[in-house]
Amino acid sequence: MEDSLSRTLSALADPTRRAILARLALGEASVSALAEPFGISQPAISRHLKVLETAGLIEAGQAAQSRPRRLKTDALDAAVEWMTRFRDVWTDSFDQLDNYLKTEAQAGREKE
Amino acid sequence: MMADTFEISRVFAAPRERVWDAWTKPEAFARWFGPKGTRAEVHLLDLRPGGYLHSRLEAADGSVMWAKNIYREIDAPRRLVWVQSFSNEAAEIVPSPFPMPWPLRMLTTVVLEEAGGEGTRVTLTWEPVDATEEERASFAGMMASMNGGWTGTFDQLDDFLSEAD
Repeated sequence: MEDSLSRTLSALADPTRRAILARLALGEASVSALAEPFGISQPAISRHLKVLETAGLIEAGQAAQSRPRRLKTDALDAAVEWMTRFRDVWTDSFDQLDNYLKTEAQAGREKE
Repeated sequence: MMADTFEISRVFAAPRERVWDAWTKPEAFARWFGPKGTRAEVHLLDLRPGGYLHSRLEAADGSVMWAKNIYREIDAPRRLVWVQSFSNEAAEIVPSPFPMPWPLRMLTTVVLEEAGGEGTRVTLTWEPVDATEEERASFAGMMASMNGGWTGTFDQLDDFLSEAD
């Protein structure tokens, strides 16, 4: 799990790959259609696609010879999960700190 | 309303020294720190300016995150300041796990005040350090969404994904 998350994160760290995902969020696209807006070669775009595929962020369709790429959302969901956890980190932690201090006070009184 | 600084403040029914210990003793910190449903482990806590806290958070689904907090100011039992980042197991700073621009470093200031006879008021502020405008906007957007349910967070991701196009 840790490995797959790390793969997702490093795949997302590159602006070109994020732009590819943004394009695929609108619908599937062929490799040549994906290469066009970036002004980079097809082999270069293929390397980016390979990274995204390994990270489980996209997949190649079986339809047609062009095998259009499409978005897979599971890996992205894991990253979004951490985002929502992170957003609440201090509210949750303050609740838990409150409980911790109360439990500790209780334990202290029992010992006395 | 987009704010650059996140702030949370609460009164805890405990004396200031005990609250201070909860923030600065590794076994205590691990007991309460982290998002709901995660388990925290403190691997190192070196409480001195320039020293750091290295912690591991594990979610119920088994996924793991590491954090590194480098201490800047330690004024027991009143004030604790650190710079917080995501890290790896080797305590090297790494970019955030979020699929959008995000500050690499966050300045965290914790102030502990005596709250009359009620206990201790803890006020924590969080602000991006050396962040780009884009990174600050992401941070402000996510923290603002705390009051607006989940929508804001996903809107933010949506905006980013469509802007990148």
